[in-house]
Amino acid sequence: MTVTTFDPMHVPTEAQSSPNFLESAHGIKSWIFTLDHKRIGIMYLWSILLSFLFGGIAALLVRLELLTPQKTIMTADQYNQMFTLHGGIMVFLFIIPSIPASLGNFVLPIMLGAKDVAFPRLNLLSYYFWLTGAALILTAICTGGIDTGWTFYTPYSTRTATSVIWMGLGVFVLGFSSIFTGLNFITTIHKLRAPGMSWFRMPLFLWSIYATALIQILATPVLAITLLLLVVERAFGLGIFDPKLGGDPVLFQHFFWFYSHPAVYIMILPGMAIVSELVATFSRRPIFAYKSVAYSSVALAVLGFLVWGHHMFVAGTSEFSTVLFSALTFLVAIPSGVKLFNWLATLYKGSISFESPMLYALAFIFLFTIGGLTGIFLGTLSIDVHLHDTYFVVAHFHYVMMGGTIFAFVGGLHYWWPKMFGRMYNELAAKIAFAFVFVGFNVTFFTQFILGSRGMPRRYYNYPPQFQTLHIISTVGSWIIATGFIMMAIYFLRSLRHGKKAPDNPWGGLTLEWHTHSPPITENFHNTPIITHGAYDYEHPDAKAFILQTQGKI
Amino acid sequence: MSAIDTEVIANAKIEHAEHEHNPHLAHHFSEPEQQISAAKLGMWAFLAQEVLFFGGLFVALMVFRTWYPDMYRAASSQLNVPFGAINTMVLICSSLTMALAVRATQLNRNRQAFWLMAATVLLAGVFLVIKYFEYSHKFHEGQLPGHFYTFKEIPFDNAHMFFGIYFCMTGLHGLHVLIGMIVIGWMMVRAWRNEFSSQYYTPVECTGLYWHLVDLIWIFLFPLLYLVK
Amino acid sequence: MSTTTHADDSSHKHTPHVLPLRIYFGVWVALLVLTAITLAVSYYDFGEGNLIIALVVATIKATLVSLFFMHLFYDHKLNALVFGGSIVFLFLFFFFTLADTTTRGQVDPANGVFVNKHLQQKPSDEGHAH
Repeated sequence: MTVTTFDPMHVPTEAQSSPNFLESAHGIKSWIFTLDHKRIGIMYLWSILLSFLFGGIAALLVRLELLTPQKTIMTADQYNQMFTLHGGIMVFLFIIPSIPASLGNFVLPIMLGAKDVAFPRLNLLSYYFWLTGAALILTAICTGGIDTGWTFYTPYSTRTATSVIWMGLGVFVLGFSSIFTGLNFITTIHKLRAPGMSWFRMPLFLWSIYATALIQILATPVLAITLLLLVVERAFGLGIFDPKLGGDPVLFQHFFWFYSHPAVYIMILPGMAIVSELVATFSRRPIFAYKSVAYSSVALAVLGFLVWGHHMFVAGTSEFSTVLFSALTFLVAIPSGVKLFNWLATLYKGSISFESPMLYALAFIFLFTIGGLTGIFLGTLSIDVHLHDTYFVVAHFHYVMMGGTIFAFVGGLHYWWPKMFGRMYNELAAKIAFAFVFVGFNVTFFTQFILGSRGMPRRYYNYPPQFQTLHIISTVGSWIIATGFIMMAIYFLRSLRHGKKAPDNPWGGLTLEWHTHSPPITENFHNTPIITHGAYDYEHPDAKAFILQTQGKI
Repeated sequence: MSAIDTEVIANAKIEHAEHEHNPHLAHHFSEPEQQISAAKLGMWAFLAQEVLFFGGLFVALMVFRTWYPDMYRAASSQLNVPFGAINTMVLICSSLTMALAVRATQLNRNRQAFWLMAATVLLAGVFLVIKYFEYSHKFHEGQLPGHFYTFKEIPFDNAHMFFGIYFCMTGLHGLHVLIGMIVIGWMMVRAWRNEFSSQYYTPVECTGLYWHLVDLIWIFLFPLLYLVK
Repeated sequence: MSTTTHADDSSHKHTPHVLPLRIYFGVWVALLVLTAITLAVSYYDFGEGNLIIALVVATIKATLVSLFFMHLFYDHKLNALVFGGSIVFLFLFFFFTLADTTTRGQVDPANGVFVNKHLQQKPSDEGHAH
């Protein structure tokens, strides 16, 4: 079908008989040797969701321990391992790959009008790297665990008897999964856009994924060398990070955060990518000031490299550098603000509907605003002196990483689930689960802003009894979140067998993936689309008819 | 059917016809030029991340050089400058032979490419042999990283740090040389089988790009490690 | 590498951009000469100038290799942007890290007064000279 003329009457006759990508081949070999970006995306999806489960269980156990000021269910050493596991699994196995590798892999080529990514074999290799990294991390867990925190600060990480080397190697390998995914996406967006799709006709999802890919390529190798040096330091006593040998532990922090700050933009940019799509589709409007939103993604990627020192304000860096980094940290808030205001302007006088994906997008806007603003508090030197390493920081980054990225990821999962699996999930169950997750999230983490500002340090096993009430509230919140996610797992899994068959375009979107079948055929399109207008052209005279026809309502 | 529909279907037919003639064109690309430029862009992106990968080590080097200039100078004077200079020349020559090998494949000269790549591998081998001599001298003298440092003649307590960084940087670089030799070896096999032509030489070109990067890294390593005053 | 556009060449053939041999050999000779220069300069003491000269020469060599052996001069400008971009970000890593490591100990912790760094002890001892 021609995607540009919105001609609802023209559907090629061969369309009905081609099998979709799930049916086109069967058996385990057709999955583990697949070169189809859609299948690779789905394999990633199950892998990262499994990681989320394990990281989540670790979180629940951490919060259980914190129910009482002294020992509750584990020793102090076990506690250190538990929060390290939670952070390490969530950051490296789950959140960094999450949106790009699963939803990105699935949706990106289709949104571009392409048949696949530029390097399908590299794509499969990226997934194998992920599996290898996961196996190495599993080895670390089984050979003594790790108790350094996910940040591996020296000199503790060079001296602790736990399995830092296996963990370091695991994350090193995972880094290459991330790098190759970024490399693939950059090349695909540059070289495989459909005829007529200029840069400014691309959906904003692709702009943000592109910016993410830039960061993946530029920042991740520095993490790789950092971990390599850490491993060498442990094995040979290299001495560059160990003060006893003349080294500098703060240098490790420079190396680590040069990656890990841009990494948080690897986490949030794809989330923002999804929110742009959801806000456009569910308010039936093009995103307000498209170009600013596009440019703000790239600006965020670039500026994100200039602020890493704000993690080290009290670490012993020079006063000059702290002032420099603080000023730049304020600057990096601007592109985020641009996006938030543009989304709000899109919603204003839009034709808004509140299906479950949209609920997550709206929640993102609210929660990310809180998370982002509290980041500014932390970027202010005089305040950070008091708030560094307290629960305020923990609350801040959970608001942006979970209230931001995870909510957006879940919203995107709901949005594209019908496209990926050809089934609708139960919308009422989805709304109820959303309520649990949203309420539970705020109960868990808003409490932690209060805890932190009153002085509760992070990563502490014991605490003074005056903090107990707030800790109990936060733990109960974690159970509410868990309930919501369990419900989600149930209705999603149910939908695979029992869900209503999904139409091509259940939500009424206009981007190219809604011009294909649900699920799509292996080549994505029967004919290469030719693009003649922008991504959100709801004003186009044929747009309404297109939506009605593809939503299955005619 | 509208005019655009006919154009789309006509395009699809042309694409299909082309694909039948060109065995190297992957199904998701519409013409060879697109595939070639995509391969090169991908390779340059890979080189970009290699720059940042090695770059971290250069940053560590410079940080410690600015903090301990005297120790640095004393330790660096232990390095064998003639060996380092010869290795620099060797890599430069290997870059020439590799670049000429790529040119040969552009001109359909598979055999010539084979021999030029063989020369590249040979020169790379010479590089590694010289490094072996340097390393074994250091092992002998106890000029080793961290715990293993036993050399007594440098009057600074933390001289082991210089050798630690030296071994990390040259070791990682040497590993990349080895990997390069293996990849070039594989290209040699393919050239021997006449697989390359003016229409298809991308693998050799990408291999060449990698090899030149290995040379580039050494171009900076040599003066910064060996020629300190 | 030249490209024949779709409109010009309906057979979709790729025409490689072949450089004349004199460019390859010219660059090779230049690289060897520059190596000799950097070696020679290292035998004289120009103080901090030694480092600067060494880096400048290395940069010239690297530029020659990139532009000609790696064909960046003739290629899509995007490839040069990608490579150049990575170097820019590496510089950022250098700049901000050294901005910290070279300016430590400048503020007197007792009363926050800026202190002349030349009068300060180095951030870590120079290793103990025997």
